[in-house]
This record gives sequence, C-alpha cells and structure tokens, in this order.
Amino acid sequence: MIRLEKVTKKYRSGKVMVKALDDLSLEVKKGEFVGLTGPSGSGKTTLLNIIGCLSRITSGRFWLGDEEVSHYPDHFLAALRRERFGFIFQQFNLLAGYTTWENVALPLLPMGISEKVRKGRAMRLLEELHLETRANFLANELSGGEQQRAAIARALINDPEIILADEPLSGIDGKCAGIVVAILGDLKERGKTIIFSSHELPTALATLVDRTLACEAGKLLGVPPQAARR
Amino acid sequence: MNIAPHINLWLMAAANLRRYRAKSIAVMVPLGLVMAVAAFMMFARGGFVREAGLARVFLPHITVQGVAAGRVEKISLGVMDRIAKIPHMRSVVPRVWGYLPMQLKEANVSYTLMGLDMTRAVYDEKMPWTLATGTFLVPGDRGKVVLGSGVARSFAARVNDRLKIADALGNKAEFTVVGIFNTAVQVYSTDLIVTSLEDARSFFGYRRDEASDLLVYVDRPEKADEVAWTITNLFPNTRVLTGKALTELVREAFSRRGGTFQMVWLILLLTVLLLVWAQASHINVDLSREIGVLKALGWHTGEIIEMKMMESFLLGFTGTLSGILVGFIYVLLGTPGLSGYCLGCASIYPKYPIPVDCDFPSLALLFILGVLPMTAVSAIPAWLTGTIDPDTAIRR
Amino acid sequence: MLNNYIVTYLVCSVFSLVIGIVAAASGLSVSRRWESAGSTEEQYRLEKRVYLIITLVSVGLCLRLLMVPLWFGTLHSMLGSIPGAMCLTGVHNSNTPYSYLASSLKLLLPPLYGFWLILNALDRKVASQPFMKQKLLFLTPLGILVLGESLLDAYFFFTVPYRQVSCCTSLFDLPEANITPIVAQSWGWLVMFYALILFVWGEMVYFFYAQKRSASAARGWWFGNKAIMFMETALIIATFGVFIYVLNGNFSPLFLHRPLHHCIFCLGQQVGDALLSSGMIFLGLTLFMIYFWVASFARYRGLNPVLGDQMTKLLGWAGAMLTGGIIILSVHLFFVL
Repeated sequence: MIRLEKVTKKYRSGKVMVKALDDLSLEVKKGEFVGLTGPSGSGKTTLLNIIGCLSRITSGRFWLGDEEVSHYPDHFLAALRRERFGFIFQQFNLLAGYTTWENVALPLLPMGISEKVRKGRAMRLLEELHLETRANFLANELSGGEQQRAAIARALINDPEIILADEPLSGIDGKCAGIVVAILGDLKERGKTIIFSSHELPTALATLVDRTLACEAGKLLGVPPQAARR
Repeated sequence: MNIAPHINLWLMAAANLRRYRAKSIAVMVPLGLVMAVAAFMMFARGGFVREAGLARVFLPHITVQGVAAGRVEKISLGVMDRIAKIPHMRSVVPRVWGYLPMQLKEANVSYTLMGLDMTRAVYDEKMPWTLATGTFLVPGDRGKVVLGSGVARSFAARVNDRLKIADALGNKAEFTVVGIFNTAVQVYSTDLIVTSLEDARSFFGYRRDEASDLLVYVDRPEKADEVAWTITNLFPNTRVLTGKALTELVREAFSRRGGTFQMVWLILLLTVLLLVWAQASHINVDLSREIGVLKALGWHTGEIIEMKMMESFLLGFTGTLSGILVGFIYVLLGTPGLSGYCLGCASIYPKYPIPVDCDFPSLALLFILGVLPMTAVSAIPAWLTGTIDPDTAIRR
Repeated sequence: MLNNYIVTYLVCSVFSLVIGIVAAASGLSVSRRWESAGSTEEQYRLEKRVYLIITLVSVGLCLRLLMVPLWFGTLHSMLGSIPGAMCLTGVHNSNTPYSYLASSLKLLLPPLYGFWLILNALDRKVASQPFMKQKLLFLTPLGILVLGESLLDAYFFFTVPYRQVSCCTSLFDLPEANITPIVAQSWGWLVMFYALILFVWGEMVYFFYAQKRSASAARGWWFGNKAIMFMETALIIATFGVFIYVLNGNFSPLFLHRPLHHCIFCLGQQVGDALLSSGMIFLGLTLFMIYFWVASFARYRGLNPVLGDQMTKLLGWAGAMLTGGIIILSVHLFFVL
C-alpha cells in the first residue's frame, strides 16, 4: 500500500542543509500496524509527514497503492490527505477558538458538507469515544486525555484507510493512554493501516504491532517487537 | 459547479472574524472612519448638487445685469423692448434686489431682499411647490413678503405676522408675511425675502426706469445660449448669465470643497490599507500552526487563500457599511464642526442645514471604494498565509 | 473634471494595473524555471508562486467584471460636462479614438481573464499540469493589454477637451410608422447575422456530441489542430462583428422605435433585454472560442480522457448562453415587427 524507494529528505536550517531522511526505503502493506521508534531528531516525524503527503521528498520515489505520488502537485497531495489519511499529532493540535465537535468536523468543511451533517458525524464519533458530553466545550477546556480522544475522532471523521499517529501517548496519563491503545486496536481490527511513532514502543502495543522499525539518523533499522518493549 | 464548499468557507471566514474580534475591530474601526468621511462628503455634495439642479427649474434662462466701468450696476429698463424682440423670447421681467446687512442678537447677518414683477411672472405655477406654509405673492400685492426658512427662523416669524425690517444702512420697512419657503430649495432661498417690485424699489431707492437685473425667459431652453449670445452682442455694457452657468457656479463651489476632502480621504484610505497589509502579512505562530493543522486535515492551499480573502472582503464590507451609516448620520446632524467649511465663508445665519442626497450610485461607489481596495490589498497576505509549509508550522 | 465616478474608476484601474503587472512578471519568472517533474525545493517554491498568480488573476477577473459597468457608468456621469453629448456616443466622440479603444479593451479583457482561469482549472485536473508554461506565458500579453488599457483610460479622462461633440441622433426623427421599410433596406445584414449564428450554433451542437463521444477514447480530429482553432476564432470574431453591426443598424432603430436612431449605447441603456441578450450572445461565443483555444493544444489529445467531461460542460454552457441570447433577441424582434 505504501512504498518508499531510496527516499531522501533535505531541508535548510539557517545556513546548514539538514538530511532528515537518508536514502530510506520502506514498504507497508494494507492493514499492517507498524511501530516506528527512535530518539528525537531521528526522522520519525519527517517520515510520517512524507508518508502522509504533508511534506515532499527531495529525491527518490513514493507510491500510494498503484499511484506514484513523488511529483504530485500540492493540490493533489491535499486531496490524498483528505481522502486517505488521518493524522493524530503529538500535541493534539486542536484549534483553540473552536468547540470539540467543530474541531472534529474540520476536515469535512471544505467538502461542502452541511453543518447539520457535519455535526451529526462528529457527534457519532464523539459518542464512540465517550466525549459526547464535551461536544460544545472549547478545545482548550478539555483535559489532555479528552483532547487526544477528540484529535483521534478528527482523524477518523473521513474514514481514512491510513492512520498516522505521531507520539500520541506523550502528554497523557496511563489511563487515557490505555483508552487510546484500545482505540488503535479497534482500528486495526477494522482493517486500517496504522503507523505509530514513539520514542519507545509501549508494552500495551506490543501485541498489536505487526512490525517495529527503529529510526536513527534518517535511516531505518528493522527491530523485532519483543526487543522494543519497555 | 458545486458552490457548497465555497459557502462553507465563507461561513467559516465570517466565524473567524467573530473568533478574533480584537483583530477584526482593529481593522474595521479605522476603515469605518475613513468611509464615514467619504460618505458624508459624497452625501453632502450630492445634496448640494441635487438642490442646485432642483432650483434650476425656478431660475430664469438668462439673467442680464448692467455693467459700468467694469462693475455691476443698475440696468436701465429701456433695453427691455429690444430684448423682447429677439427670436425665441418669451418674457423679460425686471427685478430689484439687494443685501440687508443686519445686527441680530446672536450675530451679524446678511439677508437678501428681492422684488419681483408679479404681473410678468412666468414661474408662478411652480411656486406652490416651494412653499412650506402660506401663499406666494400675487400681482398687486404691496407690503407683503415671502420669507426663506432661515429668515423665518431668525425672526421667529409665521404666516400673517407683521415683520419690521431695518438694515444697517438705515433702510426700514414693515411687511406682512404671507408665505415661507420650504427646504427643498434652501440653497437659494434660505436667506431670501421676496416682495413686490415696487416695495423693493421703495426700500432700496430705485427709480421706476431702473432694475438690478432683468430675468429673461425663452420659449425653448436649448435656445438659451443662442439668445444670451445675441443679447451680449446687442448690449455690450451688460453682463449676461445663463441658468446653466449659475448652477455650475454653485456646483463648482462645493466641488472644490469636495476636492479637498477627496485628497484628504485618499491619504486616509492609503494609511488604512497599509495598516491592513501590515496586520495581514504578520503571521504569528498560532496562525501558522492553525494553517498547518488545516492542511494536515486535507485543506487545500487554495481553500485557505479563499477563506482569508473572504475574511478581508467581509471586514471591508462591514467596515464600509458602518462608515456609511456614521457618515449619513453625521450629515443629517448638520456636519457639526465642519459645516462652516462645507458651506463656505459666507455662512448663513441661523445654522443652515446641509442638504443630504443618498442614492444608489453613491452607495455603490462607496462600497466599491471601501471593499475593493481592502480585498485587493489582502491578496498577497492571504497567499502568504495559504502557502505556509505545514510540516514546519506544526512542529513549532 | 474629477467626479466621484472618475475617482472610483481610477482607484479600480490602479489596482487592476498593479495586479496585472505583478501577475505577468511572476508568470514570466516562474515559467522560465518550471519543470513539472522536478522535486527540488526550488520547484516547490515555484508552485507557491503559482498560487499567488492564481489568486491575483482571480481577483483581477472580479475587478474586470466590476470595471465594465463602472466604466460605462463613469462615461454616463460625464454627460452633463460635455457640450452636445446626449448619450455615451457623445462622450466617446469627445476624445476619440482613445475612448473607443478603451471601451473595446473593457470588453476584451474579461474573456481573456476567463480563458486563463478556465485553462488553469483544466490544467489543475492533471497531476503533470501540462498547460503550466503556456498559461504563465499568456499573462505577459495580458499584462501589456492591461497596461495599455490603464494608460488609455487615464489619457481619456485627463485630456477630454471642452468642445461641442456630435451625438448619436438628431433632435428630430421620423414617425414610428416608417421604421420597418427603412430598416428593411439593410435586411441583408440581418439575414447574414442569423445565418452565421445558425451555423455557429450548429457547430456547437456537433462538437458537443462529438466531444461527449470522444470522452472514452482519445478521438477527436480537431484535437491539437491549430488550423481549426484559427478558423473558428476568425468565424466567431466575424459573427460578433456582424452582430455589432446589426445591433447598431437594425435592432437599435427597431427596439428604440426611432428609424434614424442607430446607437447601441442608447439601446443598452433603454432596452434591458437587449443588454441581457447581447451579453449572453457575447458570453456564448467567447466560451465557444475558448473551447477551441484549449482543444488546439498539441498535448490535449492525450489529456482528453481526463478533461473531456469539463470540456463538454464548457460547450454546454456556451450553447446555453448563445441559445438563450438569440431567443430573447428574436422574441423581442418578433414583437416589434
């Protein structure tokens, strides 16, 4: 489903050219749950952003399904993000001035869907994640765990095939982390392709991941799931 | 073409203006003030021009004045017969008028006393439209006057009151008020006292064969210029003014004042646009992250640009609308603080209400002047916002 | 002679000029360095610049559409200041040929902007954006036209001489009963107009169905054919020219009920449906011309499977506009006769 071939990503930081990904190749099958571990600055977020068409490669080739998207223009990539991806960010990234349901329904707004339908779909997801009582709260009025669940609901609103979760368990307590892991497990059962990044793979996820990859200095190393447990 | 996505973006733009109220107000207030200036200027000027146009109905086609040694003097009635024989002539009416400098309790004022020959009047069928109360003069009336609204207010005079007039030069007379002009033609009538020709002659000391000027009426208005030219050639010692020239004089007087405001207004608008540009171009971390998140959620760059442009359009529209309302109210209140300048140095006493004319073309022009520059100036800031790199923005 | 209308128009003109020049300069700069298969940072920066160009052209089109009625409204506001002018013909005559050139550009520029935006919309449907260089380079002549138009406008307003001008008609005219025989003297042009319109309309129907059938396979003998494009453009321009002629010579006197009154400005001002139908005919012919401009690109043949539906819609709109305009005009003509 996802195939990267000798992908390099460079960007300029001041006067220095930084190589975030270095000749990286990766293949992820449909329905696979891949864990991505590594220290800060190893390139995990960059890799996720490239897979999620949020950032573009400097060289190499990149396929999504049968489509080669390496040289797709910005609006084509945006369409792919809208249709096929759901992002779960480390810092939740809910928009401050919007209520919970408005945040969840944000991906639907530019698709021309009416407010009534948007709210209906958002509420259904919030109910599944036990957040329906917080639907009309502003995003910054939610606790960390609630914000992360709202962010998950937002990532799922378009029923994407691929979920990209960038350190979703950092900044929330153990109980909330358990809820998030359960949700991810449910998504896997539904056949979603999930790529989960973290400094270290949580124990609770060990039984869910099909494969763990270690990221270091922009390169990938394959690591068995057992070795990555805390 | 599916318009629903665009409507959603526009609604979100409107909601964003509510969400970020402080920023919105910071743009709307100065824009509103600038548009208020433009609006009051346009409505007041329109009012003067409209009144000048209305009053033209009552002006003679041609006014003939006597000239001696380059100065305007009394005109001899001996020329009337020759003028009456010019082709297309309908009527020649002598008129006697002069200024009445007076000292009232509140101020030094100068009114105009005008005597008309009612036996030759050609405009009497239109006169009733100009009266607020009472009647106009009829042939044979003596000792009667029709007052302009400003004069009536100064003397607190009403119809059937007796009015004693004494100017600073020692001329005195007593009249009965038979009518008061309305405000439709106040540009010309507010300081006017109209009486019979004989009463005016008696007041100013004119002989029977003299007049201040002659009012000439032609049978076809388009022939006025031709007749005026003929009179000028026949009587070189006269000054000949057409009705069109007189109304153009009024229009020019207020156009020049309008021109000053136009310059000031354009500078103010430019300042507001620079402010808008500076504010819109400044993309803080929060806005940057917000755009990055929207892009991560599948929003296109074009959609973000459209939303930002619509925010500017709505800001411009709301600011302009508020400004127009403020400007309109300001003119209705008589442009306090600026009425002296608007009316010119020859201010009329008591306070002369500024005429207001608000029509669809004026409103359309105001909206174009307010909304269009705002929207156009925000194109580049909207682009800068829309093309934020989401990868970098989200990591901040 | 700076009245409110002129000041407003000049403000719009300044913005339009700046937008046109910036878009043209950006377009030229980007087109020189554009490589559709490139993936360098430079290419991504160029893509961002293209968004700026699209934004500017979109704002430019809205401005252009606003400036057309504003221009004629501004000319109308000058009536009282120009001796002898009783309608827009008189105002135009006060400072020819600048006035007529400026008015012609007013009508020419919106379709050119529209063409660019249609081409851009089609281009963005294909990942390789095959028309990128062409559409960017097109902005240069467009910018030059905008500059020329702004200069003409300014020159017109600031050099209007105060002199008597002739207008569109004499003070006296013949009784209404004599209209038909007088107008019938130039019936040949009317027949030619309807013949041309019928021919163009027939072509629209033919190409509409041919385009629909070609959608599934990359067929279409006219795809990539520049000669067809030039012929159709010439035909449409000729049709439009004949339309203006009969509008002036035949429709004006008939609709205005004055045999000697040949003035499309008076017609537009006094007969609302004439203005509407003229606008629809103009739009229909323009969209038809744009269709051929796009289809004549050499690479269009390969792109037809992707763009075929959009092109069919374009033809549909062209046909609808032309048909609607002709019906309204003809119904009015029928009732007058």
